[in-house]
Amino acid sequence: MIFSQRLRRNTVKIEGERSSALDLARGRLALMSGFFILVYMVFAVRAFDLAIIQGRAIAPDNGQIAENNIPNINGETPRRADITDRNGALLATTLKTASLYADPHLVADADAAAKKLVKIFPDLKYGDVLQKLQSHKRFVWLQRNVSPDQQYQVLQIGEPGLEFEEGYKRFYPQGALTAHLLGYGNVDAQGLAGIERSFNKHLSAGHDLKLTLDIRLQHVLRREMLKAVGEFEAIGAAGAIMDVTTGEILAGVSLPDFNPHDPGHADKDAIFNRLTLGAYELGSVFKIFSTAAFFEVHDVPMSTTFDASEPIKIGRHTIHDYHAKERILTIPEVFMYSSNIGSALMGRAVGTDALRSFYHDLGLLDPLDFEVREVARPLVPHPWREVNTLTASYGHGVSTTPLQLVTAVSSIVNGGYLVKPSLVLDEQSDEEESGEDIRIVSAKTAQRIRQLLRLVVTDGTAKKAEVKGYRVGGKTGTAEKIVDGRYDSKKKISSFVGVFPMDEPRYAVFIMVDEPKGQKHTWNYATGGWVAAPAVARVVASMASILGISPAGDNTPENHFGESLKQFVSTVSTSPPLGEGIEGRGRE
Amino acid sequence: MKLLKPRTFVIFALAGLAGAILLHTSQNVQHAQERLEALEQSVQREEEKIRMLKAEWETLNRPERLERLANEFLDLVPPSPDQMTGKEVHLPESVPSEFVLPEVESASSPVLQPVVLQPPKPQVKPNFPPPLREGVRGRVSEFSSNTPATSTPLKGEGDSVKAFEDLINELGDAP
Repeated sequence: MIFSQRLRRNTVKIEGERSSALDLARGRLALMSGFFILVYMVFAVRAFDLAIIQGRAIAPDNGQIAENNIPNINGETPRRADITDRNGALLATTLKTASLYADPHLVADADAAAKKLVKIFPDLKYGDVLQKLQSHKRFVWLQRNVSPDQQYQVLQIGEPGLEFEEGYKRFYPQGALTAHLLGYGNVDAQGLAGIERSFNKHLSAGHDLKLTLDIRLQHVLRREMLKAVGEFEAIGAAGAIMDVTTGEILAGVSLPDFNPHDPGHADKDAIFNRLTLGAYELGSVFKIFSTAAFFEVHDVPMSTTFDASEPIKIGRHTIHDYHAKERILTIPEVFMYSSNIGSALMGRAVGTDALRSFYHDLGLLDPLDFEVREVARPLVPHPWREVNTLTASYGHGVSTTPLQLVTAVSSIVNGGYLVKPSLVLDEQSDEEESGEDIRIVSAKTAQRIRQLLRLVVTDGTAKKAEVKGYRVGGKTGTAEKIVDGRYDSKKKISSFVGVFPMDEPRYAVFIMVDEPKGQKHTWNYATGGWVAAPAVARVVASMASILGISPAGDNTPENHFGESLKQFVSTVSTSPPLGEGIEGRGRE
Repeated sequence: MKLLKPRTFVIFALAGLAGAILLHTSQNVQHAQERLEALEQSVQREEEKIRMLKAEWETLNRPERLERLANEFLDLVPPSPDQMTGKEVHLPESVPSEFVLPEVESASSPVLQPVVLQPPKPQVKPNFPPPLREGVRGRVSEFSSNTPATSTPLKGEGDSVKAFEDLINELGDAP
């Protein structure tokens, strides 16, 4: 209604103007031509802009065009983040690479292209390139990882058959050094193992990661483990260095290792992480835990004795000592001579439930809660009978991962506070966590274990672990491996866990060697004391100079730590045994 | 001819002027944008190069390699515990006064000659200094232009420690 009214009024208005129709037409014509003139002017200006103004801007640097054509992958997804060690040394990074390939079907002039390519890449041979460009494939690699400069020169050839593949590649500057804990990824930049796997999302989102590892210590540990493996013709090894107060892993090595750039071609044994994924019966090192449990349950003096004169018979099993003393031993003697009988008696005195729950509290019976997801489930006897208590007290019948063992040892020697192993450095945690420490053994027990560990190195089975001035303490372990359900006396796991400085422990160093073979210069012994203890000593010596730890002087009280225990060691035994108890003899 | 009033001309002229200014401004913006993009790209290229160099630096500083080179070229061994008597923080900032010699008059004492220390003769080590530039045929522009740096391995580089270039090239071979 309103619309029609307005229309009528308009018509009326024009009629009322009384203008000549000619004038109106002329005005419209002028307007139209003005409009067209304007449009053509716009065209002219735009043409001028494109041809002259912008043309001049581009002309001086043709490279700009070429560069602009390279797709910018960066904008789409963030680049996979770097991983560094605790000091900022690069462990993993992502590099941009461009690789030159050809589609011979599209190559117009193979001869000319080959000649020019050889000029750009001096490493290429003319004949090879020509052959590749003339082949009947649809895809041939010519040169990997081309520099941007060379890339531009190749584009200048103008050969349609030459193309580039750009991409990001994960690069591990340290090579195999941290291969197992760090892990590796696939071509799609997805982590498949280690930290690369467990922190895949975090890294993909572009957040850098700092680990607790120190590559200097990592190198030292790996070097000494390689030496031990070579010297004793072993099939593998695992080792770790841990800060006993925080549980931070300063170094973690599994041998044999692999090239993380090419995990596809490594064999399964090399990929296998013995440190976290291998569960082993580690033997006498467990005596640290059973002795600690004993002190927790029975607050008795060190002079308490155990009758190790005869093997223990329980059911079908007999528990022997390797170098049997065949007499009554005090607690320090049981520990330093690594008497299975003595430890079994201690285990019996602790009781099945108490020992099992103590092992459980130390985290030895459950899979480790760890930042690397490849962790093994410990093998625990089920049902747990009394005989299992006796054998478990000298590390037999219970399989754990080496990392769990180091963690448990750290928890005792640091004064009795439970630690959790960590691999990712948490730089803010220092103050917060002091309130929530969980005590696992009393300070008194911790102190006694420290003294016992020191005694093992000064007078017991691990004399080769001594590093002058650094008060190393520790415990050896030699266990037979189970092959086809039976203990094989020829296949051993020899280990040593060392802690230093013993009067105020800071670092735990563990080395386990898989199937070492006795050598002439070790009188055919391949026990923990011969194989792992010297390796740990070399690691400790190197650590001291790397970390700048001062040795204690000869006559300082620190250097005489633990000597009070010597009063409980009978002077009857003049020569301490070379080896220590081998577990596994107990079973038929 | 109402359309051709002077006022109309003025309006057209102003519109034209505004158009011209607009064009000029838009041109400026466009140029600035291009420059920005070019700069951003060159920043990106430089960052890429820095990453490449960092990776190479780390590769060259692998403890394993440093140790091998130190064994080969330096007559130094790690300190033994006996040699460690204290930490460097225990060293005094300056020489204690009792160790400073009293000044003597030059007239009564023999004229002090500046001591010229003979540089020790380098031991004969066939691989030192390493021929760093060998093998970079036809890549003279390496330091001046866009080439991401990859250095040539030292001559003594054994099989155990791969050169950075080899490592980089390995990347492409991974499945």
